[in-house]
Amino acid sequence: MDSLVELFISTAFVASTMRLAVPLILAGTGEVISERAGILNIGLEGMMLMGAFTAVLAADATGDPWLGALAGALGGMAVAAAHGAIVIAWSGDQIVSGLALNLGALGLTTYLSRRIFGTGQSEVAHFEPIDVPLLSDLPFFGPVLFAQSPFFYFALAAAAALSFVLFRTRFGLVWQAAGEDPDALDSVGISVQRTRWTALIVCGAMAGMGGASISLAQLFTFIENMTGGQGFIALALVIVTRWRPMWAVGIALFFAAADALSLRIQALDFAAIPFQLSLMLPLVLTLVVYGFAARAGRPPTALGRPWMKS
Amino acid sequence: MRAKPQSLGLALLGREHFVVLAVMALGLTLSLAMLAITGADLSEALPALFNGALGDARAIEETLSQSIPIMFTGLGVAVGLRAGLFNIGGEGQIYVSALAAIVVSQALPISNPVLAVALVLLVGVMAGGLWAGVAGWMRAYLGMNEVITTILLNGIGILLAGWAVHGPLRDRGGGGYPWSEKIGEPFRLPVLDLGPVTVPAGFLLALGAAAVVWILLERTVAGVELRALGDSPAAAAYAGSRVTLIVIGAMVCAGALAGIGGVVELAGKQERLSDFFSPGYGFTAIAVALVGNARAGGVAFSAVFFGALTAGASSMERIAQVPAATSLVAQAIIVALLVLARSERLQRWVRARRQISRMLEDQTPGNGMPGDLRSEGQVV
Repeated sequence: MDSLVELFISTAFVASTMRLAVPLILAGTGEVISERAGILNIGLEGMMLMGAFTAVLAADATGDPWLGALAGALGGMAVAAAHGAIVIAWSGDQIVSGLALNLGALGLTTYLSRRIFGTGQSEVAHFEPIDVPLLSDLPFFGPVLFAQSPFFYFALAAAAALSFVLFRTRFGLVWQAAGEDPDALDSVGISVQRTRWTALIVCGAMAGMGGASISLAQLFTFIENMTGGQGFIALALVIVTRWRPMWAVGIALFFAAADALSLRIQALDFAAIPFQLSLMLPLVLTLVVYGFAARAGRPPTALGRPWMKS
Repeated sequence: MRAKPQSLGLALLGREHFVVLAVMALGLTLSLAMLAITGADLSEALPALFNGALGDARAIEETLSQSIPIMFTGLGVAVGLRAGLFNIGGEGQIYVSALAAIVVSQALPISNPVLAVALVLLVGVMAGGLWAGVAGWMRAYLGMNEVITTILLNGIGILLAGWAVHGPLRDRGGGGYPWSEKIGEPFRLPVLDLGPVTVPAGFLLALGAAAVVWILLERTVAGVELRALGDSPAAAAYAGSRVTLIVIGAMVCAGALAGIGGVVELAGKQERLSDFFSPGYGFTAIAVALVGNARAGGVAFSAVFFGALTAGASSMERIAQVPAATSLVAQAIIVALLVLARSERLQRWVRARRQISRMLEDQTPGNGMPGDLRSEGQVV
């Protein structure tokens, strides 16, 4: 028991929790924005996977991880654009479109990575942790907070910025109106479709970055289906946050702690728990937390409903 | 009733069967275009695709065999869809039921083949039904979205099966592979020799399941209630329909169907449970159900289509070195096109065009004045 307590406060454990939370924070805050504007994105997983892939593609071609991160955002945005064309421009079913995009992103990235990289694959240009001068030398807080990849700082800054935009600016209020009462928004002369497009594209960029953070800051290469369901955990996370970007940071850290614990159990061979059972831990925890939170918040009124000018 | 001449295109767009066939053809064309753009040699790939799906008796058997698990699971997805539920959990339901079947077959070594097969099928129904029933319960009592819960349950179910085949169920003499021992001889399903073609017995079971689902949905009171919930949840609740019961019941049925699919795949084809038991049948099943418009007959047809696509794609990979992931892309394109074809915008456009063509027709001499009672009645 002692060792378990020590584990939870150990520097390595907390630092790895922070690292694993990054893709969830990025994709989760993006999804909050999109759902606030009324667009449900079951295709979040596909956006992340595409972002992870385009990031590796660009980092490999240019040798520059920053261009890779940018390409990751663009990859996510491309999938978001496909979703927008189907559900905003054509008012198609949002759930089915998202499922198709997940399938398409999985198929396309698998197909292209086999064609381009073959089966054997090596590390591409990637991000090393950035040691913030002086601060990274602090005990505990140094390695935990000030020796992370650039994605970590970007994720925190983006969550804060999107939270500010959503709740404190006119732009954000318009997003909220598109998800709460699109008819009212339309009646004051603001385009519902254009508003939803901006929210969806922001979501695509964030999810794409989330995918890039997995490929460029965790595994340094592309592996088929490497997002492994994190997009779906992020979807559950959004409900638990009750559609608030800053909460996504806290909830993501909580889910990531389960991930980190699962990795630790595998590494330490804790009580001889088989790795499959330890991998179940984050999934079961997500289900339980989601179960408690499912009815706690109220989703945006027009979430998932297509809107058309009549 | 008067004949309603209208442009051929409009008439066809209104016909679900035509729309689906057009979407399938366009989806395949676009997928092949993607192959060509990315530098695949179509002159080699196309014959491989066709021969692998329909080239000879063996290819046809492979197509039918590939269509079995996706037909069962697709029927399950369809039952959910008719109740307004998205069961994305086919993959987990398949693994869990195959796992349960292996465990029971080892615990109860029955020698009578009829009893043995009936037993494992029943186990599949129960295990799959239970696994999906959990998601139904979460939906009905906790308000949890079944898309998310079934996906999380997929992960848990697959890991559970993975743990079993790496641990307690691992075949010690299995050449080091993490898989279970073969399921006992009496539990296996045969391949039937029907003259020109050989047909896996599981395929006939799947067609039987389609018939049962058709009766259940279209010819029983429970089916009417289920469809009423899917068509208009608010109205169904207002009418005093037992919403929680129907939601859980629909999910249990969906899981039971996927569960039989898992057991038939085990007993009729792979014989061993492994980490790689299902290459995504649960996800292909969603495309199968959507293309089949969630109707039993449609699902049976589209399962064979996607079975042929899968068989053809793996032959393309073997012969023309085109990655089989192509079939995933084709599925995605077809589903996306289908969403567009059924989108509100297109439906509205078709309705408007129809109305216009009828009004124009009514204005032609000899057809009465525009706006008279008869033409107004038709516009509706």
